[in-house]
Amino acid sequence: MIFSASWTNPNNITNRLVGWVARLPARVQTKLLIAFLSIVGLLIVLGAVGLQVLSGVNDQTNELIKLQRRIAAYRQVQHDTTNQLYSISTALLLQDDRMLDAALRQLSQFGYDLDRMEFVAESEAAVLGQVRQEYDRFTAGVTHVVELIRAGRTDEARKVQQAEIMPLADRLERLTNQLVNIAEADMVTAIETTKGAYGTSRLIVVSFAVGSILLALALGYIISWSLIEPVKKIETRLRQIAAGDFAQQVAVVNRDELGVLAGNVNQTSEQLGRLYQEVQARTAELARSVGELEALGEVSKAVNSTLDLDTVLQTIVAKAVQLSDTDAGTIYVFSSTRQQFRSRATYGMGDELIAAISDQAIGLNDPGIGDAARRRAPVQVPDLSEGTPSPAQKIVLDAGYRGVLVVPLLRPNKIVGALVVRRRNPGEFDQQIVHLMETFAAQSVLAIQNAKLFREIEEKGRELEAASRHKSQFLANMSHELRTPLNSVLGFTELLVDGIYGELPDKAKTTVERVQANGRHLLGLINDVLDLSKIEAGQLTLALEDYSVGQIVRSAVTAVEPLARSKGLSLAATVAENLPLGRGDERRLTQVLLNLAGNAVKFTERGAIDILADAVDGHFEIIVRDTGPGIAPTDQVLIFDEFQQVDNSSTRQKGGTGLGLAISKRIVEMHGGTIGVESVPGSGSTFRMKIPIRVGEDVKAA
Amino acid sequence: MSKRILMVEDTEDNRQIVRDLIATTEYELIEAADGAAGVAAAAAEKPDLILMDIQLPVMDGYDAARRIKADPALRHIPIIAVTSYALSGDEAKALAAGCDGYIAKPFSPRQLLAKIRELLS
Repeated sequence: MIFSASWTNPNNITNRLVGWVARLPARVQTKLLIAFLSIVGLLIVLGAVGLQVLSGVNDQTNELIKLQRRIAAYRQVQHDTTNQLYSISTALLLQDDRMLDAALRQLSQFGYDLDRMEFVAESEAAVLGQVRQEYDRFTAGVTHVVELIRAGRTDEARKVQQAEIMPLADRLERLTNQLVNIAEADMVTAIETTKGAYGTSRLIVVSFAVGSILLALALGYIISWSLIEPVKKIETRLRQIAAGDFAQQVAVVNRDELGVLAGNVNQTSEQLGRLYQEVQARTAELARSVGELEALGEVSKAVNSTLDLDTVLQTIVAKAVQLSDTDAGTIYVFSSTRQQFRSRATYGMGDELIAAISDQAIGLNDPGIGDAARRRAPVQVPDLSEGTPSPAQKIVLDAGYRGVLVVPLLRPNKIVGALVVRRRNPGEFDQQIVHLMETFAAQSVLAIQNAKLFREIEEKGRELEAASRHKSQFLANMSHELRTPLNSVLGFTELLVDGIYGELPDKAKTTVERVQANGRHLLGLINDVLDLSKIEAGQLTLALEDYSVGQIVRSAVTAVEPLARSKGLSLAATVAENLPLGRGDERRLTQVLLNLAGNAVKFTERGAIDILADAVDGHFEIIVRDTGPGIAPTDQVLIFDEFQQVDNSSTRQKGGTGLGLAISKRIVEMHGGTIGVESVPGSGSTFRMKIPIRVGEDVKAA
Repeated sequence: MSKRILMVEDTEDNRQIVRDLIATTEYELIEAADGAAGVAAAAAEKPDLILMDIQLPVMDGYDAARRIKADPALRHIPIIAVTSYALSGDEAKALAAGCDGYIAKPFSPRQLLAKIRELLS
């Protein structure tokens, strides 16, 4: 039933054929070749059939022509017989000799006709034989009549003619008529036959043609569809793959290249599907990693950017909850004095719950947080409703949370607190989430530590600030208190030396001068200490004004010249011409140069001191060069530090405080300049300071 | 008539030094030991120059200088601040209070005399 139904459905048949062709284990090329060869074969057969039909038609035509000729021959005999009779009758009537000759000639002509008839119509031999017999008798009769007429026996001739020739003529005519009739009947039959044959031929040719076309169409259709079907399927599949659907398979029955192609597509699709899944998995993993990194980054930023502990812990607990895909979280801080955990930051919790949790003091023996802290390892409770929850856990459970993960905040030998995340759905926490929470816990420890350190530093800072203030105040007061008695000492000694109280004996004068020198040294020390303390306290500000480098150099030279002269040193100052006006603190810069020049004169026993001033690259460069003992490389850095001099004994000997260069360095640096020394022990020293020509108004103590 | 100098100074030693110094000159010295006494002496004596210590009992030197400079009758008298306040800004503060000059303690009597001569010439 199914079979017949399937065969009655033309679609089904073609489908079967298409399927059959597709399943043929041949190459597409071969299938196409076979199809084309089949069609070509059909065309050749069609041509052969046509030729066959044409040759049949030709035979029929030849037959018709023959028949036509036969009929013409019969008609000729008939005609000649009649003529003959007519000629003889006329000759008998006229008895003319010429007519008789003509009648005889006619007679022999008739004989030829008869020969021709025998030639074209062999099939009618019997009738022709009869005609021939009759003709012979007719010839004999006519010859006899002609002889009678020539002999003058006209009556007798007429009788003979009446009695013999006329009936013979009638019979001859009848016979020829009969032949004509037969030939015409044959003709009709032949024409009918030709007509029939032509019809058949046409039918055959048309049938062959139609059959060939149908077969060609069917072959074309079947072959095409056996190719198109799989191509369409493969195309659809490729489109699905392009759209990201890798799950489907192409079902192609072909056992040719298309079958192989479909197989490849399926394999590629599977491979792509696998790769796509891998990529998706990797992407998801990456996205998660990126999310974690971002969150950690934010947490780190919070830890580093704000020292407000609550803000940092708030950030950490929020990120921890978001990243662990939980619903709420709390950071507890452990008080070592009270041995209790207290909630410090929460996320995703209602005010009521926060209040309830804040009221709960959790000890080290409590389950969950206490356990985790004691074991120094994460503890998770997949479902709070299983087992007996502690009072703190009961609050959480009643608020609708089931799963809890506790990560302790730890330092070596110390419990800092705990990070807790809670989930409404019960279930184990992933190892990955546990690790992540451990990272957040570490960050929290860091934040808490930072905050504590910051608090300590702040306190220390405040203490230091107060101490510094006290020191400055003390120095200022002491400076004032020291100056007042020193004023008396220096004032009275000067009056004594100047002879206001009368001329002193030489020894007394020398002694008073030494008191005066020591008093001035003491004043220098007080001034230097005060300067340094002001610089350190940031109280020394530059009084910026326009100055002339030449003037500064002159002031320094004037101040040190008496000592240089008394030591027999040459002192030369070279100031470049046309130097621009500088801007800076003239008094302080003079102090610096005076210090450098003073040192040079103090420490040099023989030779020369040169002071050079020039402008280079927007800076004044002032150089003080001496031929003194020089400074060892290791000491070249130290001399700019407070209370550092190359040789303390020499310092005392030379009357320096050891603060001059330190103060000079600070003053130069406050101007945005630099100061340094180049020296080779035994070959003198060169001090070089560089100061921006125009110092900005906003330069203050560093 | 010799020019008169008013010295406002609470330390006896310092007064002694200036007293001995001025004694060698043609100038006449008037002394006051605190700020208020200084302002009163200035008003009473109308000196040609005032040497004003800054750290003084009763009324400090800045205040005394301001009061003297606020009095139209005394405004023209030059005031030299003589102080051991050596911190930066002290000079500016003294000038702001109306002082005309500034000498830091410890001062050299020779230099002080030079400054006095400069202002009184």
